[in-house]
Amino acid sequence: MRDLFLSHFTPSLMRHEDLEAIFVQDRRKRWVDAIVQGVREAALGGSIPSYLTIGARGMGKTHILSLVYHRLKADPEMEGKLALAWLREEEWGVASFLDLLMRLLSALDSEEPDAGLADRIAAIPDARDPEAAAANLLLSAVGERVLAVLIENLDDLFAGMGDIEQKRLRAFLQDHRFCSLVATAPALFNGIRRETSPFYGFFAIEHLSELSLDEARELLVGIARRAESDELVTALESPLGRARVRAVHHLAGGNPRVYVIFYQFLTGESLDELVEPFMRTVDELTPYYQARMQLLSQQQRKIVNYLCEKRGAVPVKEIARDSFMSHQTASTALKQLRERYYVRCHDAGRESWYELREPLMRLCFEAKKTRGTPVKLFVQFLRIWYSREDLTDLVARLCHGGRLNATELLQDLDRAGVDEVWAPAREDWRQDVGQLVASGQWERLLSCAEEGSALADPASGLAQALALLGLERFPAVLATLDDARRVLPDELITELEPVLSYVTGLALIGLGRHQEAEPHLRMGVEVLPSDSTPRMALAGVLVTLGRYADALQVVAPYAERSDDPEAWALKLACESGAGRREDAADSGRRLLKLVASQGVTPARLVRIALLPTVALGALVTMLVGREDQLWADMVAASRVCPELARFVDLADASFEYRQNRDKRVLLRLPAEDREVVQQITDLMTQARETTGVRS
Amino acid sequence: MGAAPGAVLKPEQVVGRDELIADLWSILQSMSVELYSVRRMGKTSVLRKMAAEPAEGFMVDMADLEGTRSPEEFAKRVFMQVEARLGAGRRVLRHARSLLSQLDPQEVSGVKLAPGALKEHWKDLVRGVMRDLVEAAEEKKATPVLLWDELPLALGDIAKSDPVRAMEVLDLLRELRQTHASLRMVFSGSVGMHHVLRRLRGSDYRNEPTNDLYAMVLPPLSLDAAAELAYSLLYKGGVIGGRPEAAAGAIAEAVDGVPFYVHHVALAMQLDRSDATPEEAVRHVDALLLDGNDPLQLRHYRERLNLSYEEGERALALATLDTVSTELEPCAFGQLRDLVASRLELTDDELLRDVLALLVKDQYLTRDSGGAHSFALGIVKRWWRRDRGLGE
Repeated sequence: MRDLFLSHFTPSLMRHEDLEAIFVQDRRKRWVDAIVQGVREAALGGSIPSYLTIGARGMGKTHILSLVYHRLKADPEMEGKLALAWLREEEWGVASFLDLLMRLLSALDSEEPDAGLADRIAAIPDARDPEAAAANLLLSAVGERVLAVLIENLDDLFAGMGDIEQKRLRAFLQDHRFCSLVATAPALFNGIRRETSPFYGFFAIEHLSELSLDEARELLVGIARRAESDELVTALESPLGRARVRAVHHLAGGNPRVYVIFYQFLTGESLDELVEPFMRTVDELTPYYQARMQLLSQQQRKIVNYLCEKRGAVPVKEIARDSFMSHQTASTALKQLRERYYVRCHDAGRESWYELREPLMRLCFEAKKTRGTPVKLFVQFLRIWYSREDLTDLVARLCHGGRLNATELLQDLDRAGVDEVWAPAREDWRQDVGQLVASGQWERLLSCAEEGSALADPASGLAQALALLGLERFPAVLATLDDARRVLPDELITELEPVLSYVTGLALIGLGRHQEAEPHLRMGVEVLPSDSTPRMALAGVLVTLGRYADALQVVAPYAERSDDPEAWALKLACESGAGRREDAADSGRRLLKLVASQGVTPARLVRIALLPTVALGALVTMLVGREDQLWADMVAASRVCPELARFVDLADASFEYRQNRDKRVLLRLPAEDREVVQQITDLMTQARETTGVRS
Repeated sequence: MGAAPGAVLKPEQVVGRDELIADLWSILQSMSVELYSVRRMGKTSVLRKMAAEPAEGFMVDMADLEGTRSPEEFAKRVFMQVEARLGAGRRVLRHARSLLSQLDPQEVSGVKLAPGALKEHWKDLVRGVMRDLVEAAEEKKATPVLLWDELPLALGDIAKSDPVRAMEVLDLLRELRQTHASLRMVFSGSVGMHHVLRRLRGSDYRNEPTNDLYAMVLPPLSLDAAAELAYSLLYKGGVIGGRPEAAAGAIAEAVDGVPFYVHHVALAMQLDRSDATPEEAVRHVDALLLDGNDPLQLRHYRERLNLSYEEGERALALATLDTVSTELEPCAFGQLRDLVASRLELTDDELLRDVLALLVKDQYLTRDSGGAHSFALGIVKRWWRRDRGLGE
C-alpha cells in the first residue's frame, strides 16, 4: 500500500497525478478541459477568456484550480507563451488595484524566481507613482506572453478592493488584453452579479454540483486505487461496501471533502487514527464558519442554527414556527440565505423545504456544542461503517488515550440504532430501485439488489427477482422469490405476497407455463387495479390458452377507457379469436388510428404487431376480405408511421405469395421477413377457412 | 475560439459587425458618436476592432475609462492615451508639455507638477493634449478619433463625489469638439448618457453637452452572423453529433442573436456533451432561463429599474413591462395605456409616454413605425414573464 498524501484543505499541495487520479464527475472534467483549452488558446493568440468556478466549501474548487495549474504548467507548448500567477486562499489584505498588482508580481516572482523580479518589486514603494510602476513592471515581466491568474475566493478579493479599484482593474485588463482570470468563489456575489459591477458578464461561470452516489463511490475507490490498497478497493466494491457508501453519502451530502475525510477513517488502524483527522478538520473549519455566521443578521443566524440541528430539509412553516417568526419573516430570511449559499431549497408541491447547503457547517457547530464529546455525524459514520463487534474492539483500543471518552462513545453508538442510521440509505436505495425498474436497467438493478440485501432491506429479494425477470432468467426468478419468502418476517409476507405472486406469474409466462401463471396474474390484477400491466399479461395468457371470451372480459374495460394501442391490439385478438368479426374490424380501425396519431415508436409497434400472433391473424382476416376502408386506413397510417409500412408490405407480399405460391416472392424479401410472410400466409388460409371469406 | 462568455476578443475574432463599423466610419466623417447598448452586447469588441483596423484617413486611439474618479484622473488618462499614440517626445506633445513644465513638481508621465496643480489646471492639460493630437493628425492628413469606453460610467463616478465637476468634463469635451472641427470622439457605455444627464439635471445642469453626437444603439448580431458564431463555438467545443448547422440556427434565433448568450448556450451544450440538434439547443436555452443561478445574467433587467428610475417611474415601468411581456403582438399606445391602467392608477398619459421613451432608450422595448411597443429581445420577454410569474 502506498502512502498517499491527501490534503483536506490544500489540494494544491498534492501531486498532479494523484489529483488527476481522484478527480471525478464528468461535468467537472469537461469544465476543467474547457478552462485549459481556453487559456491555451489565449496563450497561442486567441481571445482571452476568464472563468469562475462557484461551489461551497469542500466542493473541490481548489482541486480544479490545481488541475488547471498543473496541466498548463506541464504543457511544453506553453513555454514562453504563458505565465502563471496563483493568488492562494490566504491572500488577504488586498485593498486596492495597486495591492493586487503587488500580489501578482510576488506570485509571478514565486513562479519564475530566476527572472530577477524581486529587486524591482522591492523598489516599487519608492517610485513616484507606485501604481504605474507596478503595472509597467507586470506588463514588462509578462512581455508578449499571456498571464493566467489563478485566484481563490474572488469574492473576498473584490470585497477588499471595492468598486472603484475593481473598475481600475477591469480597465487595465481591457486596455492591455494580456490576462486571463481563473477564479473561484463560494457563492455568486454582487461584484459580478449586478449589471453595475465592473466584472458583470466578464466570466464564464460554472456552479459545481454535489457528487452523486456513483461519483462518490468512484472517488473513494479512486483514492484507494491510488493508495494501492487492493483490500479497500475490494471492500468498497462489495455489496456491503456499496451499501455503506450509500449510507455515508446521505451524511456527506455530496461534498467531496467530506469523503476525503471519511476515506482516512476507512484506512485508520485504530480509533485514535480515526478521531484525530476528524477533530482536526473540525478545529480547522470552525473559525471559518463562525466568521460566516457573524455576517448574518440575528434572525438568519437563528435559522442556520436551527437547520444545523436538523439533519434533513424542513418546510418553511415548521422553521417559522420553531423559530418563533412569522412565515413572511422566515421566508424572507431563507430567501436571503439561499442567495448567499447557506441553504438550499427543494420544492415539494406548493411547499418549499430548506436544508443546510454545507454538511461541514453542521458538523462544526455540532462539535462546538458538544465540546469534546463525540459528534453525531461521526458516531453515525462509525455505526454505518463498522459492525457492533468491530466497534467494541475499536473502542477498546481507544482506552490507550484519545480525544474521546470510550464509555460515552459506546453509549452514543448504542443510541445511534441501526434503523436510525440506515433508514435514509434504504429510502434512497428504494428510490434507485424504482428508477432502475422504470428505465429497464436490469443489470444495474441486479447489482443494486445485492446492495439492498447488505442494507438488510426486506424489499431486496423482490428487487433481485425483478432484475432477473428483466434479464429473462425465469427459473432464477422463481428461486429468488422462494428465498425471499423464506427470509421475510411474517407480517411482511402478508403485505408483500400479492406482489411476489404477481412476479411469479410473470416468470411463469416466460417459462411457457401459462396455465400455472393465471392465478398469480389474477392476484396481480387485484393488488394493482390501476396498473394496466397485470391486466394485459393476464389477457395475453388467456388468449394463448384460447379463452378469448375470458380474455375479452379482462382487457375490454381497460381498452375502452384508454388510448393504449397494445390494449386495442389485444382486444382485437380476443374478438377475432371469439369470431366477433364486426367488433374486431372496429378495434382494428381504432388501433390503426392510435398507431398513426401517437407516433408509436418502432419498438412499441413491434410489440403491438407481434404481441399476440392472433392479433396479426385478425388483421389478416380483415385484409383477406379486402375491406377497402380498413386497407385505406392502414396505408394512410403507414405514411404517418413509417414502421407500419413494413407491415403493409409484408401483407402485400403475403397476398401475392398466397395466390401464386411463387418462391421468388419470398426470396425478394430479407431473410428475417420470409418467415413472417410464410406465417401470415398460413394465417390467411386459416382465416379463410374459419370465416369463409374469399380473397 | 471556444465558447467563453465574456472573453476579451481579438479584433479578427469579432464577427458580424463589419457593416455597423462601416456605418460608424461613415458617420465619423462628419460627427462624433455616442454608442450605447446594454452590457455584453459587444461594444468593447467593436471599439477594439475599430482601433486595430482603422478606416483610411482616421487616426484612432482607444481607452477604457472605467475607474476614473476625478477630472484630474481623466486628464491624466487622456494625456497618457495620446502620449502612447504620439510618443513621449517633447515635439509632438509640445502644448501639453509646455503647460506641465510650468506646474512643477508632481509627476505626470515624467513631467513634474506642483501638488494640487492638476486639480486647478486639468482642463488646460486636456486642451493642450487635444491641440497636440489634432496638429499631429493634420500633419498626417488624418481625422483624429478618440474611442472612450465606459465614459458615462466614469462621469457617473465623478458625479458621485462632485456633480459640478462631472458637468465640467462634459462641457469641456463639447468645447473641444467645437474648437477642433476635425476632432472626433466616440463615447461608449452601458449606462446611457441620458441617465447621467438626468442625474446631473437634478443638480441644476441645463446644458445639452451631447446634442452634437450621433446616438447609435449597438444591436445584437444578425441571425446569420449569430448562427455562424454558434456553429464555430459548437464545432470547437466538440458539439458536432447531430445537425450542427440547424442547432446553430436554433441557438441564434432563441437568443435573438446576442453574442454573449450564444456563448453561454454553446458552453452549456459543450459541458453537457449534448447533441448538436435544434431540439437540444432550445432545451438548453430553456434550462438556462429557468436556472435559479441566472447564468445568462438577465436579472439586471429588473435591478436596473431600481437603480436608474425614479420611484414613480419604476412602478409604471414595471406595470408597462409586465403588460407588454404578456401580449403576443406589439401594443399600440391606447391599448397599452388601458392595460397598464388596469394594473395601477394612471392619472397622466404623459408620464407613461416618458417612461416608454426611457424603456426604449434603455433597450427594454422597441417601438415600431406605427408607434406600437414590444420587447426589444424575445429572450428577455420570456425571462421577464418567468421571473415575474406571469406564465409561459
